[in-house]
Amino acid sequence: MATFSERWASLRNPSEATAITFQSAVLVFTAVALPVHIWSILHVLEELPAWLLRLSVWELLGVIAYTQAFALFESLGIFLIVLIPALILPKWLFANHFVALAGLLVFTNSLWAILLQQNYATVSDWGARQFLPWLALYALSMLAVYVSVLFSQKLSQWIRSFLDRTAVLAGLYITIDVISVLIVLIRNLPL
Amino acid sequence: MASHVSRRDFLKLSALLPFLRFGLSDLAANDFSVSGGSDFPNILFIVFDTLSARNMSLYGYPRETTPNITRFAGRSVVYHTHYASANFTSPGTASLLTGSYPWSHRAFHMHSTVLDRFRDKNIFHLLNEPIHTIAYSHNLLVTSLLEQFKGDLDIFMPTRDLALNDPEYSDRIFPRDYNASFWGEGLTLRGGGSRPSSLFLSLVYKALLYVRKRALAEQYGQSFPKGLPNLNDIYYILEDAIDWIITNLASLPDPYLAYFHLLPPHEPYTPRRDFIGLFDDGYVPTPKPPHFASEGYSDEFLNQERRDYDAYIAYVDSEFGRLLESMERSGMLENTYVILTSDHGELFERGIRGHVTPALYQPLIRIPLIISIPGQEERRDIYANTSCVDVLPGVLSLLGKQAPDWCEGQLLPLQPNQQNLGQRSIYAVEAKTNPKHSPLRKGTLALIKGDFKLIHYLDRQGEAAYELYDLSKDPEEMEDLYAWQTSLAADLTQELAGKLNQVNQPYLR
Repeated sequence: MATFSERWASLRNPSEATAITFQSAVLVFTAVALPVHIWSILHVLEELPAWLLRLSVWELLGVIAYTQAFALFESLGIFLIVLIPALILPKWLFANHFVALAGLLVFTNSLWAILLQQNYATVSDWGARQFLPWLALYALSMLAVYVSVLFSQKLSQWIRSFLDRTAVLAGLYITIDVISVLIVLIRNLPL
Repeated sequence: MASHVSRRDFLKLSALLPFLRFGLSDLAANDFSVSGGSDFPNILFIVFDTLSARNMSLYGYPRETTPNITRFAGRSVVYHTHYASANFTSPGTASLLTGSYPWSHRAFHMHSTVLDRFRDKNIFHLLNEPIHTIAYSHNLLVTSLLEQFKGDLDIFMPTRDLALNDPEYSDRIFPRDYNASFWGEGLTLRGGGSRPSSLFLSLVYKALLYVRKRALAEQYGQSFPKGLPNLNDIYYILEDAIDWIITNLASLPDPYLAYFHLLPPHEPYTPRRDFIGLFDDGYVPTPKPPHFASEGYSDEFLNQERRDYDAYIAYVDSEFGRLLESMERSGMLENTYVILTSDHGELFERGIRGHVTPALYQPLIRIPLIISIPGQEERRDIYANTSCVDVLPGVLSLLGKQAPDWCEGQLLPLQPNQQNLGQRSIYAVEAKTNPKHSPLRKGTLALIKGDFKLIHYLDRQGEAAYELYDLSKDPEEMEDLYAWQTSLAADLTQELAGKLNQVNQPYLR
């Protein structure tokens, strides 16, 4: 196993860095779409019984369509937030680990977001003193993600392989999203 | 407070903007007489959300909660046993506006809308031919209903117009599909019954809202130390709405029908500073046994909440007093029917707080109705039972119009000697758990006939499904007579069952 200084030195060698390909962009989009859509669909399903009571099928389809169309735009927004810095920043920062790094960063941020969603009522009452340690922990977790991906080929490969296998789900989500956007457009057509 | 004053000024000026949409030529084409030379009087609805008659000194409550409304009553017709058709906003307001019970219009779920066929069965549609119509609501549940009726509204003011913040996007992005997009936006950014369906952006939304909320708290904290009035992430102060009405009503083209649905005293009970502690008087209402749907609140807690609610009502009353003074000064009461009412009441007993409950006790459904007739100088008291579904035919009759046959209400008596409405039956419905397009089989029904009130819990079996009270002898609904007055109980049970069967017919396959 390479030492930290050897690994760091190899990272600084631009010849080892590769450009971001279409395939790697698709895998990163998969990493973004997965938590965004799983969270969205779970919460839509949670509300479904209440909506079934009061909405017609067309109204129900409409409400679901708005949530899933929003999930598409949320996924695209976050994907761009990940992609644009990757295009701007020096390539050696990511080396050949763009997919794994972006994927793990998105998953870790998703876990933080879920934690925040679950505890929002508590966190919204916090002052700076309670907030700062968690902010430091968050920063540490981001650093840990960066270091662990860049220095563990195994982890990097595992994440890439996981995204390879789940990319089909992204296709499914996009299909649902496109149908949703169509429904939204139809519902907003002037009669 | 400089920014506060300038905001008010802005509101006053911005209020004139909607009229620009019509243009002077349109006004002339519609023959709206600005000078008041019309044959029709103006009609002004002031609906205070969640105002229970039980807690108003006008109706005998021991705390002096409504001195200004009582003064207004001195030149009005006062209805003493007026009932909402339900115990929360959507069905109660839909009934007021359509003259139909919830089993007909079907807006009996939280944030629900009326059936499509009721889009043109509403007070604005029936009156918009001779009258200029304008409507506003602080409460988004009502805004959803008004949105359905907006084709009959000359001016439909969005909730944000008289709010301190604006967390709504769907009505601007998807104006053609307001309700579905609003429900979608609500679930995505604010969450329905649980967390929002957007994992990341809802947090950004919440953070922005938090910052805005903090800024508002800083700006208004001195005046509202218990927080600002709010619902669905929208913050308001009643003063802004009352100022708008005072400033702009006189400039509306005559004749007009103006509907203002104002949120206070809906929870959270956040009165202005000068009303906090107003009722630290040790008053303790009659203790009552816990209901089967009790939320487990102690009497001590409920009395504390009642005290805050009462103080909030006093704040509402004070703002209404400001409006009343302005109407008196301007002579508006001489050519305008002013109708003060509510959509439902509030409960602080039997372990229940608020109005999201299957219970249909008097504090939840007995609401104020006070109608000031142009030029009226003396008070008239009406003790006959009336319902919110009677308001639509009542208003139509004031304008010499007949109520349509689909309307389930009767004419409101305007004179004490007109009180002989016979043994008519009045109903209230709670059906949040019943599917919208199915027969009513879940929820609670109340039948009020003469002095008696039968409550039927549709989800319960046997005698536990019914309660019967003699409201003249037992207004606190303490003694359930169902097992004792067997003959009367059987008659009323049979009548309610017959009514239920009748209203369920269109949904029975």
